[in-house]
Amino acid sequence: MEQSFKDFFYQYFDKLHAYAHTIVLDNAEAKDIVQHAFIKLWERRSAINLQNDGARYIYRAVYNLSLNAVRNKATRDKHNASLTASNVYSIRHYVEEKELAARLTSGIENLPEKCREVFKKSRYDGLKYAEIANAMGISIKTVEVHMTKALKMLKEQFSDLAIILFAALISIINKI
Amino acid sequence: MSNKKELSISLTAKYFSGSATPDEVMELHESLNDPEVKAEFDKMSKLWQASAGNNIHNDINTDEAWQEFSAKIKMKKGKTGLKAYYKYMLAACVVGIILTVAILYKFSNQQVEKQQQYTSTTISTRRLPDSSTAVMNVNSNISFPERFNAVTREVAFEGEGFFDVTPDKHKPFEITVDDIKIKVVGTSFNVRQIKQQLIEVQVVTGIVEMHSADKMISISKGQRGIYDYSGKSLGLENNTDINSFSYATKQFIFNDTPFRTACKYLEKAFHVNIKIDDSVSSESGITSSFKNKSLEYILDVICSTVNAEYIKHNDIIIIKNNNSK
Repeated sequence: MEQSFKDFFYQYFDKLHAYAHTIVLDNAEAKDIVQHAFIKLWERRSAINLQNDGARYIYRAVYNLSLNAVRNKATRDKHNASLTASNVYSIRHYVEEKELAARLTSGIENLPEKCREVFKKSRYDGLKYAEIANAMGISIKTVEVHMTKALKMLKEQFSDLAIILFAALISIINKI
Repeated sequence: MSNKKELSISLTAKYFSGSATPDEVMELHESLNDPEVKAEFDKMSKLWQASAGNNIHNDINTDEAWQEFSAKIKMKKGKTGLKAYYKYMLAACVVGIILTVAILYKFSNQQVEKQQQYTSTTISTRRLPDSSTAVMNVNSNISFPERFNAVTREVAFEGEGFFDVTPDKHKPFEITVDDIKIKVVGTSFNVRQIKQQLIEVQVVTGIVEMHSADKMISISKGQRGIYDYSGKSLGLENNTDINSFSYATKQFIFNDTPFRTACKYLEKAFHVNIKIDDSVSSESGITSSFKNKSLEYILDVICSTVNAEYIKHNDIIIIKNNNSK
């Protein structure tokens, strides 16, 4: 096995996995897609210069394979019906997450109306910009503006994030 | 990209929503080589992940991924070198397997079927001989043979259950509930029977057929079929209520759902009794989704949105306003 290919794999695998997940919204599916993309790259390694073109090639491959997976309706169905029972959290993670989720739920409700609608369609329904634009009868550019605004506002509301988490931890320790 | 020191929020939003092009994603990922930008991005990512109970991205183990990849590459190499000799071997094996299956098949038909029967007292999952599953709500009965025969997969059922049926085109899966036969090939759906009143089938994936003595309806994904005992009639409706079978899926999707209604769903899924004090604005809309979360977790989140708190005592939960102490 060529060392340069292995290095390339280690450099990009987790990034590409995160990328594929933003589109297919399924961890296992995303993993299969990235594996598939690397196999395609491996098969063409004699024709592609990894250093110059490898990254561009594999990002495109992941993008196209992800879109195909979403188009494949069966995948969607499986995604909706998949029942994963394992969900183990450390207490600390659990508390952090619960505190955050509770505050975020009200944070999201406090966004301006259009902004909130766009954000929910993206986050809860997993819709892409083009689909949101279509559903709401607005342009993709407007969707982009609303999403950016939503994220900025949430970020500002949660600039004290580290402090909240710390406070949550202290309150737990006190209870024990 | 003159200013590489700052994270582009609009690009980040586009990326999180799965709407960024490959080139944009590359640009974003490259900008994360800067530790300050990376820290900012991680914070945004945490907010995004926490803003819904599902669709969470899990970190991946690259070492495991690499091992899997190496194994796949090796297999590919092996495949191309298949010689004629091996092909004959393979053909011989296939013939052997077919003969064995044929003999077993003949044998299995002569066996007397043993019937398995279960009654659920808590929500429990039953695995069937074909590896289909039935999540059974309390007070439900199921019976099926130890091994399904060669032609059909027959199950008798009473009560409420969520079925996830393994696809097998050649061997339909049939559930008998009183006078009604529910036939599927491979899908997931919820069956609910209220004795002497109705039998309801809500379909999550695929297609399900409901047969009465003289009629048949075909129910697709997102629809529900209802049998009415009194009129002996079958009806089809173009909606399902996915929160009504959360006892099995452990998934709730609230979209501007009144607080009171959300509590009703929780009562049903967790078999608890929720009392809401008059001080709580129980008509306020809740928008949130949960997957595989505990009752306590969900209550904490939804109570905080209506400024309420809850007390849990065994199966009884009392919700009241934060200030009405």
